[in-house]
This record gives sequence, structure tokens and C-alpha cells, in this order.
Amino acid sequence: MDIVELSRLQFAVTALYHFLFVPLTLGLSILLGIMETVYVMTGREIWRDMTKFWGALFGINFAMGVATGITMEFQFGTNWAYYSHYVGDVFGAPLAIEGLMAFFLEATFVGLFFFAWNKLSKISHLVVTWALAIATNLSALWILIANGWMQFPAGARFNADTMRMEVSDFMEVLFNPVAQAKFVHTVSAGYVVGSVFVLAISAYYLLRGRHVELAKRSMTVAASFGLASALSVVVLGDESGYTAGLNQKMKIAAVEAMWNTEPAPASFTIFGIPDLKTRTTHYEVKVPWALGLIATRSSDKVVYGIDDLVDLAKARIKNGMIAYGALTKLKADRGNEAMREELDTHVADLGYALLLKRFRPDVQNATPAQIDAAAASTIPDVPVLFWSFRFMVGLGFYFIALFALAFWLSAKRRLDAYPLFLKFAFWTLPLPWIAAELGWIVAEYGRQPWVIEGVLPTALGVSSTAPGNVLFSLIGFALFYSTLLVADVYLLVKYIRLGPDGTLGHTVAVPFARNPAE
Amino acid sequence: MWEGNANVAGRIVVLGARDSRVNYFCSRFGRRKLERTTLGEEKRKMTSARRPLLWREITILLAVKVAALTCLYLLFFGPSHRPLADTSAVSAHVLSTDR
Repeated sequence: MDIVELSRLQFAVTALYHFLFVPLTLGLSILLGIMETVYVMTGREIWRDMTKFWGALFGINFAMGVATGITMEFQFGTNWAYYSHYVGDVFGAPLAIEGLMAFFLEATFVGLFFFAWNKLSKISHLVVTWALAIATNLSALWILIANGWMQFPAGARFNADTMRMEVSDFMEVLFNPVAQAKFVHTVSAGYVVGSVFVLAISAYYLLRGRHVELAKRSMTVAASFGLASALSVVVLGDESGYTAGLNQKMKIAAVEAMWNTEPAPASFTIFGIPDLKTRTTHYEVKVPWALGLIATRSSDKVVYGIDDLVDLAKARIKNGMIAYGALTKLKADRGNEAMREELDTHVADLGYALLLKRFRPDVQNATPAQIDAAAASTIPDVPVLFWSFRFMVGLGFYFIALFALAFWLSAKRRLDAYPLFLKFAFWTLPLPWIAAELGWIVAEYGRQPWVIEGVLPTALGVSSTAPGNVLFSLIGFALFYSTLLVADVYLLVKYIRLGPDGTLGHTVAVPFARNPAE
Repeated sequence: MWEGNANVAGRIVVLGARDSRVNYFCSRFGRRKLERTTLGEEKRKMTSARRPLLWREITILLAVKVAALTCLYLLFFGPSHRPLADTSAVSAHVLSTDR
């Protein structure tokens, strides 16, 4: 493996691992806020105990999330130095705000949440819990603004003198439609993860007849919040698909394994087997109009197929070569205004010319065959995207069905009446994580070969370091993260088995319990 | 009749019989002292006993942390390990013909 593949693998491993913890933190933080609100409103001790018990599990997960997230920020400097220089002016700002504002805010309120139960009034502690939840979500907002810019680099322009992208309009970066859609979709997915976690563990207690009162109440909260969140994920995922359809047409075509452009409105492929050799999809099962309506929100706009998008990429590469030539001359003669003007005219396609770097160093002299190869390299891995997307969507609809059933049983006060349902709820536990990881694979693997869509190919962002260094740190991360995973699972299982009584060190209050003296 | 106990910074302090105010002071290395005290003295002794220990533990922890960070810096993040990525380096990286 070369330096590019090793650096990509290292970032993918650490990001996917980190994202095991993030969605649960997002989801549980809001659920803690809901539970404590009920406690403050009703004054019933059981809701305080619920908040404390689920809060203990939240704490274990939060600590692991922090430990695994920090390494990624270092990788921007160590493994992605050219990337950091080229786009750091834009990308660095939301990343810094996330670290300085949101994370410190979050860390402060985490401390208060755990240690201030007896120091603050009920209302003050409730404010702390909600502040924690908001800060957690703010962290996600800033990181997703940074990530959204990688998918849709709005509000920035290339500066030939500094050789970097620079912010031209921070509001455009902040209110980037891709970032906003991605944020609401991702946090909703996190709420689903948190809700399934609470639902599954509560089902485990109900199956064993332990902590029944706490488990039923927890399940009720998880079912209602989870149902709203699961519905949101689908609706907001549709918005995310629409924004991707505007500026990441190749990603949409690859996700659909749509090789040729169909007459509008395009149909949606529910099932099929993509064949890379023949560039066709076998055994397709299609829903007419569906993709056209989702991706363009219209019945007369075209969704382009992969082959047409490759042709478009060829044209942009040729245009980019003019920009590249102008930039090269401009670097030699800074006062050459004609070249500056030519660069400004074609700068939007400069990134496409950089795709040729993989095939030859002197981009201006690329042959038609090399231009064809560079254009073909804009196609991401179609089967991986096709299947990841379908499993993710399938799981999303399964969660809606599960939460709807749980909500109905909760309304009928029959949550513990059907052991089969409880077993289903328990064994659902790993599925939202799988769905969330698949979502990231679609978003990030689908962006390839770009690290910044249309601006910078991934291969050009990697540092010129020795592959051995990256391999060494990759092995180190794998070992360290595996140890953390064992510790995390051990602690979570330990406290779940201990249950609320064992975790809190006292018997959880049961409301309306008959007084033994009566 | 036992009055209660407290676990402070790794030490177990067992308050003695209510009547005689006997204080059993047990460190992690075993019981050390057995003396008669009043409750006020008891509290003062508990506070003064745990303060130096806490400071010592915090100091040791911070020292270990600084040493670990220094090692990490020198081994992996020092100037010699830092890839150069300024304007000229990026120009050479993006525009060079010798890649």
C-alpha cells in the first residue's frame, strides 16, 4: 500500500471507530434531558434515578468518544499537511470553533451533570443537562459544517498567490445547504441510536423481570422519541439526497448504479446487481419516477447517468488544463495579468486538471487516453455505495416499524406482554450503529476521488512522509482502539448487568408502591 | 456501636465507638493509629491528612502527563517530524513536474 492508501485507511479506521461513540452521545444527551425534565415536572424520584442510571452509561461512552476523536485532528497535520494548507483557511475555522467553543462547553457541563446533583437546585441541574445536550449537538454542527464544505465547497475561492482556498463569504460556509442537511440528518440518526440503545437495554430488563418500572418508563421515552427521530432521519435523509443531487451528481449516480441517463423523471432501483465490467445493473427492480422526484424535486429535470458524467468530467479536465497552464505561468511571472485573467476564467475546473497528476506529472501534456483515464477515475466504487445505501435505508424503515410498534404497546401499557417483541428490541441493539456507519461510507467513500469535491483530489492532500510512519501509527491506533473497545464494552456490560440499583448504590424508587406497614 | 466510616482518597477512616470517641485511622498499609479525639479534632485530622496526599497525587499525575506529552512531542511531532507545507512547498507539490 502506498502513502495515499495508508493515510486514507488510517483516517477511515479512526473516523469509523470514533463514530461508534458519537451517535450514542448525541442521542443519550437528549434522552437524559427528557427524563430529567419529567423528574422536575413530576417530582417523582424514579425519573431522577433513570437520568442518573442512563447518565452513567452516557459517561462511559462520552469518555471513549473524546479519546478516539482527538487523534483525527492530529492526522490533519501529520498525514494531510498539503490538504491542511490548501483548505485550512476554510476548514480550520469550523474545526477550531468546534474544539474551542462546543467541546469545552460540553466538557464543562458533563462535569456539572455528574458532580452537581447535590450542589444545584432541581431547575439548575435541569438547565445543566439541557446545556450538555445542546453543547453536544453544537459540536456535531461545527464538525458537519467542516465536513459539508468538503462535499460542497461554497463561500471560498482559490488564491494563486498563497496556493490555497480562502474564505470569501463565511455566511455561505456556515449556511452551506449540504452542511445543514447533513447536520439534521446525522443528529437524527444519533437520536435513533440513543433510542434503540435505551429500548434494547430496557427490553433486556423486562425479559428478565428486573427493574420493571424503570425499564417500562425508559422504553416509553425511547419509543416516542425514537419514532419521531426515525421518521426525521428518512425525511432529512431525503433532503440530504436532494442537496447531493445538486452538486455531487456522480455520487447519486453511483449510489443508484445508474450507468445511463434516463428520460426525466428517473426511476429508483430498489434492487439490482451492479456489474462493473459490462457497466450495467442486472436483475433491476425499479420504482418509476421515484429517483427523479427525490434528486431533483421535479418531474422534468434529468438525473445524469455515470457515462454522461464521465463525459462531462472529460470536458472539465480539458478546461482545467487551461487553468493549470495559466497557474504555472503565473507562478513564474506574478505580474502576468493575462494569465491571472485566464486562471480566473477557468479556475472552477482547476481541480479536475489535478486529477491528471495521478497519470502524469506534466498535466498540460496529457494524452487523450490519460484524460479518459482521469475522467473514469471520478467514478467511486459503485457496488459498495449501491449496497451500503440500500442496507442503510432498509434499516431506517425497520427502525420506524420497531418504534411504531413500541409506541403502540406503550400507549396500551402492554410493553412487557410480548416476549417476542422484547427479544426483537434487544437484538436490534447493533443495527443503528451499522446503519450510521453505512451512512458515513456512502457520504465519504462516495466523495472519492475528491477530498474536496471538484477542488482537490485526495491523493494530492496527503503529506510527503514515509509510508512506514503511517503504517506504524496505524498499527498503534488499531491496537490502542481495540483495547479501548474491550474496556468500553466491559464497562457498559458491567453497569448494565449491575442495573440501576447496583450502579446508583441504592434501590431505585418505585412510585405508587404499597407501604409494607399497611 | 459504630458511628460510620468514610473513604477519602484511598484511605479508610473508621470512626470509633460513639461514647469513647476512639478513632481508628486505617491507611492502605494497615491500621496506624489508635487515639482518643473529639469529633472536631477528628474532622480536622481527616482534612489535613488527605490534603497532602491529594496534592501529591495531583502533582505526580501532572508530572507523568507532562513527561508523556514531551516524549510524544519529541518522538512524533517535533520540528524534524513535521512535514513542510507552506506556499512554496504546496506550489512544488501541485505544480511540479517531477512527481
